[in-house]
Amino acid sequence: MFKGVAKSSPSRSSPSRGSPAKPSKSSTNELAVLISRMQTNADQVEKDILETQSRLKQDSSNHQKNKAFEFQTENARNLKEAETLLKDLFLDVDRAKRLRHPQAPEIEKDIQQLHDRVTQLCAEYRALYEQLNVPEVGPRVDWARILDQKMKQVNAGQYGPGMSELEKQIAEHNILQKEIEALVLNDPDFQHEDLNFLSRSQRYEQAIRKSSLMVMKLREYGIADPEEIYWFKSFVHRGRPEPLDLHLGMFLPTLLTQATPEQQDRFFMPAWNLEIIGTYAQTEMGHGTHLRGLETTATYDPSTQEFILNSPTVTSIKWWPGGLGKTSNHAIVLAQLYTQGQCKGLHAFIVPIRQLGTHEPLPGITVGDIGPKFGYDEMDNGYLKMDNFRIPRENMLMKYAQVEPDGTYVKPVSDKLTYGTMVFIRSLIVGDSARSLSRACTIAIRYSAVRHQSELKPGEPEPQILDYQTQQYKLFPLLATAYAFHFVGAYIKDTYHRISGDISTGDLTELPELHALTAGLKAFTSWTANAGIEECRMACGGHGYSRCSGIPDIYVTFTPSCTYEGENTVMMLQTARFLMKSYTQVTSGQQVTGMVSYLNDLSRQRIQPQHVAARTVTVRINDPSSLVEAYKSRAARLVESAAKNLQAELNHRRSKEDAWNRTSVDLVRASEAHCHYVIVKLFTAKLAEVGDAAVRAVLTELCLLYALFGISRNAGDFLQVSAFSRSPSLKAASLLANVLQMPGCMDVIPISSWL
Amino acid sequence: MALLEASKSWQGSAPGSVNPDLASERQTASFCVERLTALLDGGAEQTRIRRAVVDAIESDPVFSRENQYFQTQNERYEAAVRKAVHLQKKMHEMGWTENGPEYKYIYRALSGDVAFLLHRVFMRSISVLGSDKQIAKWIPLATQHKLIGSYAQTELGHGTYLQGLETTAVFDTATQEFILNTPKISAMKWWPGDMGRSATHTVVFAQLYIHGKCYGIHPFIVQIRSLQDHSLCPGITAGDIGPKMNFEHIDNGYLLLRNVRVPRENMLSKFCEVRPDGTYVRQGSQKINYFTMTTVRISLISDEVLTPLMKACTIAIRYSVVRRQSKLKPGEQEAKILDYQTQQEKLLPQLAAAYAFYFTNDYLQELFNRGYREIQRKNFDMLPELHALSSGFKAVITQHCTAGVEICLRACGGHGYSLLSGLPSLYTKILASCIYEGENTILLLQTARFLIKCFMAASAGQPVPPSVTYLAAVKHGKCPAKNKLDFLSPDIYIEAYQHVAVRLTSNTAAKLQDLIQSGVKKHDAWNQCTVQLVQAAKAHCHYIAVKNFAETVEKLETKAGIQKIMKHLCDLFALHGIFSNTGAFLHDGYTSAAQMDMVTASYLDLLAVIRKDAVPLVDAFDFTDKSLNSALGSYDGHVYQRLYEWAQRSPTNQMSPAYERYLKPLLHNTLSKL
Repeated sequence: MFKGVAKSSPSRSSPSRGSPAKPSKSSTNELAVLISRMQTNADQVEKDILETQSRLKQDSSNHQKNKAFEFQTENARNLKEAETLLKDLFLDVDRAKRLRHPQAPEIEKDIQQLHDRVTQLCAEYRALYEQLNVPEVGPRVDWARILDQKMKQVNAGQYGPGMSELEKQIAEHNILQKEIEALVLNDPDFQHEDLNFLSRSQRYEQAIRKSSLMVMKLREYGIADPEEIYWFKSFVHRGRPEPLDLHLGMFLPTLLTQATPEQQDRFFMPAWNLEIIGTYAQTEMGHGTHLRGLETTATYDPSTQEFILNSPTVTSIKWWPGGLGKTSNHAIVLAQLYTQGQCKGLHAFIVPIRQLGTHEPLPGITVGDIGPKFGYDEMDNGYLKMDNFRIPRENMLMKYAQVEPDGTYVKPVSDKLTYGTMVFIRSLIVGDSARSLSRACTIAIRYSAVRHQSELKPGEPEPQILDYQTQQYKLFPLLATAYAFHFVGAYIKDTYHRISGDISTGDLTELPELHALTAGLKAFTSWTANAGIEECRMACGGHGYSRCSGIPDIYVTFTPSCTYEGENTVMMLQTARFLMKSYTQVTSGQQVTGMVSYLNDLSRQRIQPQHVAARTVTVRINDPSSLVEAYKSRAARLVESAAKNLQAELNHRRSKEDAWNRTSVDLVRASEAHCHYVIVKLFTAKLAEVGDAAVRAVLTELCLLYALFGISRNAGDFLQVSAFSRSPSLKAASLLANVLQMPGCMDVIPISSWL
Repeated sequence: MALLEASKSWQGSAPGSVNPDLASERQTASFCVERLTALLDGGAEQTRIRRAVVDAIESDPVFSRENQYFQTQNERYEAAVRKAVHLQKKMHEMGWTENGPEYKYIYRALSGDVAFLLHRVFMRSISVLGSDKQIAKWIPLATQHKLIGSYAQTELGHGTYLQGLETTAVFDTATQEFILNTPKISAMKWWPGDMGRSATHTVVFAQLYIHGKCYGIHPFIVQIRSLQDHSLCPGITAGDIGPKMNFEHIDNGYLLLRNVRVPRENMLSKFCEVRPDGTYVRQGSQKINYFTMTTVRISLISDEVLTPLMKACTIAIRYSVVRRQSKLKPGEQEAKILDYQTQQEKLLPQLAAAYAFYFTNDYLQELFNRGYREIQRKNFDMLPELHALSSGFKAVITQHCTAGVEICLRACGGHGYSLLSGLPSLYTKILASCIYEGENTILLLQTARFLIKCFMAASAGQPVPPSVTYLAAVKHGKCPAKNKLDFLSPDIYIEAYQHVAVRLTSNTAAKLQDLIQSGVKKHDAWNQCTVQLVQAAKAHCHYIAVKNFAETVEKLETKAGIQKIMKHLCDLFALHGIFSNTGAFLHDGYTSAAQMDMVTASYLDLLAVIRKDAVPLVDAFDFTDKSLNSALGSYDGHVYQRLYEWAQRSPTNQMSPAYERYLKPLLHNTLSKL
C-alpha cells in the first residue's frame, strides 16, 4: 500500500539497475524481510486509518444527533496500534536507508504521509471525544503579548476619539476582561442556556457543571491571578452566584489568613486542588448579626486532644451557608470555644462534614439544603447540625488564638484584624450595587427607547416612552446614581488597598474610619440600588414583570445584599456610632480628620455662638462643589441633632443603651446624610480628574442630577438646614426638570461597557 | 448534656403550645381583639361566615397549599386547574352561590391560588358589553363550563393606551363575517390569563374596519381551541408566555390571529352594532360601561392589595417578637428585634397603613355603591369624581402596599429571603398590581387632570364635586401647632395635608398656565408638568386617606379600647406621612423647622406606644396559619422548628445527580493528579 513503493515494490523488482552500491547477499535477505515487514505494517496502518476515518465520521454524526458514541474504544485501539506500527516503520525505514535501499527516501516519504494522516486522525479523535479532558499544556493566552499590544494601542490612541478617558476609568481591567470574555463566550462548554426555564435543581446542576469546568479551564489556561479569576468567574456565571463561591471567597482566604503553616500544608493545597471543597458556616438559624450570640459549642477534651462540636438547640443549627447543602465536604465552623470549663468566645474550626469518595454525611453530622428562596437558585444554601462530633485539636484555626494540648488557652495578639476582611467584602457590595443598578438601568433605558405608548401630541405617532417626563424622572436619576456608586466603589477599593498595606505593617489608625464608612456606604448603596432596580422594573411596565426581561433576576439576586455581610440598619448604626464619637471629640475641643472633618466647623461656630442651622449658605445650584457644601451642612445638622437628642435621652437618666435605642431612627438618618454627603463629594471630586472635555461635561450633568435629585427627595432636610432658602429650592426643582431634558445624554454614555 | 438540651427545645414545638415570647405579647393587649376583627369584617355575623368558608376550604385537601413553594410552574398550573374544577363541586356541595354572602370570602380563603379567574372577566364583559341575545347564548354556556373564556386586550407592544392596539377585524359583507388578524409582531395578544393553555374562547379587542374605514376598538368573541380535543383552531397560534415573577399558576398567554373568521353575531353589540349591509350603528350610553371598568380598579384593592400587606405585617411582626438579636442592655437576654426603635420604624407604619387603607377601601366602596345607584337613575354626574378617585387610589394604595410588603420582607433579615417565610411570594404577587388595571403613573396623571380641571373651575367660582371642594378654600395661614402634642390633633395634621395638596395643585396649575401663555403647546406644557402633577395627585389621595381615617376613628365605639388604639394608628399614619415627606410640608413655610422636630418627636413616641399592641393588632386580621403559609408567621411562633421541618421536605434534599455527574469527576480528577 505504499504509494511510492507499490509501483516498484522492492520485493517484486530486481535490485536496481544502475544502483551505485550493490547490496550484499545477506543484506539483501535482511532487506527483503525488512521490506516485507514494512509492507505488512503499512498495510495495517492504512487499514486502521480507513476504518477509523469512517468510524469517526459515524460517531461525529452520532454526536450531532445527540446520540451516544459507538466506536470510541475501537478508534482508540486502532490509533494506538497505528502509532505503534508507525514507530516500527520509522525504525525500519531508517534501517532500510542504512542498508542503502534505493527507494528508501520514497518509502520514508510514504511513511511520513501515513504518520501525518494518523496525527490528523488523533486530532479529530480528541476533538470529538475528549473535548473536555485533554488540556493542552501551558497557558493558551499569551497575556504578556496581549497586554503589551493593548497598551500600545491605548497609548497610540488607536481607539479613535471615542476611546474616552471615562471608559478607561470605568473599565480599569477591560483589557484583560475582554480577552477573558472572548475566551469564555467562544467556549461551547459555557454556552448560556436560558436559566428562566430551569427548575431550581436544574439551575444548581448547571451551576455546578460550569463551576467544575471552570476550575479545569482555569488550570488549562493557566489563569491564577485573583483579578483574572474574578473576571473569568463572572463571565462563566454571568454575575450569578455559584456553589463554589464560598469555597473560593471564604474558605480559601480564611485558611490563608487564619491557619498556621502546618494547617496550610494539611488543608490549603488539597483545598486549592479541590480535593477538599469547603464553606464558611457562621450564621445560625436564630443568630445572624450579633456574633457573640452564636450557640454552637466546641468543647476541648484534653484526654483525646479533640474538640467536641455540638449544636445544642434548634436555633443553633447552622443555616444559610452557601455550598453547604450539597456541594461541600468541609466547613469552617464558628463556635464558642470551651476549654478548662471556661468559654473563650468564638473561634473557627475546620470540620469535615462529608465522606471523601461517597459524599455521604459523616456520623454525627446532619446536613442538607434549606429549600427554596427568593433567588439564588443556583446556590445550595444549607443547614448543619452537629451531635458530639469530634475533630482533632489541630483542626482549630490557630494562627492567632491557640489551645495547647493540655487545654491551656493562648489569647490572640489583636482582634482588630478581622476588620480587614469585612471592609473588603463590604467594598465589594458597594461595587455590586453599582453594577446591578447599571444593568437594570441599561435594560430599562433601552426598552424605553423602543417602547411606544399613547400620544404626546394629538395625531402624531405614539412616542418613545423615554420622551415622557415621568419616565425620565424615574430612570435618569437612577442612571446618575449608578455612576455615583461606581466611583464610590472604586474609592473604597483603592482606600482599602492603601490601608491594608498599613494593616500588615501594623498601622491601624485609619481602619476605624474606613470600617465605619464602609458599613454605612454598604447599607446606603445597597438600599438605594435595591429600590432602584425595582423602579427600573416598574418602569418597564408589564414586560418588566416577565422573567425574560432579566430585571426580576437582577433584583432577587441583589436584594439579599441588604441583609448579608451586616444587616443594613445595623450597619447604619455602626456608622452612627463613629459619627457620635467624632462629634463628642469635637465638642471636647479635639480636631477630627477625614470625611468627618466637617464636624470641626461645629466647634468653631460654638466660639461665636450660633446654631449650625442658622448659618446662611449661598448655594449655587448648577455648581457641584456648592452642592457638596449643602450636603455637608445637612449632614452636620443631622449629626448634631442626633447627638443632642441622644444627650437629651441620657439627661432623662435613661441607661446608655436605652437612650441609644430611643434615638436610633435619628441616628440612622444622620448616617444616611453623612453617606450621601460622601458620595456627592466623591462624585464631584472625580469630575476634576476627567481629561476628555465631552465626557467631563456629561459626567458633570449626571453629578448635578444626582445631587439635585437627592435634594428634591430629601427637600425637608435641606429646607430645615436653611442651606436653601425657599425660593432657590423652587429653582432647584425646575433646574432638575431642565437637567432631565439634557439632549442625548444617553448617546454619550457608553452604558454598554457595563453589561 | 447537649443532646438533652436539644431534645428539650424540641418539646417546645408540641402542638398547642405557643412560644412564650409570642404568648406574652397577647396578654397585654389594650383592646379586645375579637371586637376589632368583627369591626374589620363589618359585624360578628360576617366574621362567622368568613370563618366557616375558610374552614371548609382549608379542611379540604384538594385546596392544600402545603407544598406550593416546592412546585414548578407546570405543577402550580395543574394544581390551580384542579382546584378550579373542584371548587365548582365544593360550592355546589356547600350550597354557596355567586350571590350568597359566602362568595366574597372564597377567593381570600384560596389565597387566589386558583385557575379560570379570567373566565369570570370573560363572562362579565359579555354581560356588560353584549346584547341580550348574546348574553342569552353565551352566559349559560360559560356558567356550565361548557367553554372556558379569557379576555384578550393587551398586546405585546400596547398596554395602557387602548387606541394604539393593532389587531384588526375587517367586516366581510359577502359572508357576514369579521376577519381577524394580528398583522405585526407587536399586535400579538400578550399576557391574557388562562389563555396560554386553558381557554377555548376569548374576547378579542380589535380595530373594527368596515368598507375600509376604521371605527375604533371593539370586542369580538373568538373561539381559539377545539371543544373536542382542545387543539388550536385554524388560523390561531397560541401558547404560554413563559416564566414570570409570580402567578406561576396562571397560564398567561399569547395569541396570533391569521385570517380568523367569526360570524357577525360575535361582535359584542350592546353599544355598537354592525348591520348586515355594513352600516355601523351606535346605541345607548357607554357611560355605564365606563363605570364598570372603574369599579374593577376598586374591587382589586381588598383581595389583591390589602390582604398581602396585612399578611406581610402579620408575618413580620410575629417573627419580630420571636427573633432575638443582640443586647439592648448588658447582662440581659438578647432583645426581641421589635424592641428596637429602627425595627418599629420599619414595621409599625406599614401596619398603620394597612388599617388606613382598609378604611379608605370602605369609603370607596360606599361611594361606589352610591354612584351605582345614581347611575341606575341615569344620573352620571358622579362619574368623573369616581373615576379620579378610583384611578388615584388604585395607584397610591398599590404603590404604598407594595413598598410596605417589601419593607416587611427585608425587616425579616435572611429568613425573609427564604420562600418558606411566605414573604417573597406575597411581594412578587402584589407588585404586579402596580401595573395591571392601569399603570400607576398614568392613573395618577388622570387624577391630576381631574384636579387641575376642578381647581380651575373652583377658582372661577363654579361648583365642584365634594371630594375636591377644599381646592376652592385656599388659605395662607401657618401651621398653628405649638408643641409636639398638638400634632396628635387630627385637625392640625389634616389641615397640613390639605395645605400641601392645595399648594401642589395650584402651583402646578399656575406653571401649566404660564407655560401655555408663553407659547408652549398644550400637550408639551402638560408633559413638562407631569412629575409635579403626579405629586399633586398623590398628595390629594394622601389627604383624603388621612381625613377619612380620622373621621372613621371618630365614629368608632369607644368601648373595648378600640377607638383609642385606632386613634394611635391614625396619628401614626398621618405623622409618618409628614415625617417621610418633610420637604412638601416645609416648602412654603407652612410648617416651620421647629414644628418638624415636634412631628418627629411625636412620631417616635407613637412607635413605642403602638409597639405594645403590635401583635394583637395583627392577630385581629385573623389569618389562619394555612392562609399565611409561612414558617415565620404562624400563630404559635415556633419559627425555627417549622423552618427546619419544612426545609427537610424540600425536594432539593433528595440525592442529586450533580454529585455523580460533575462533582465526583472533579474531585476524582484532582485526586488522580495528586
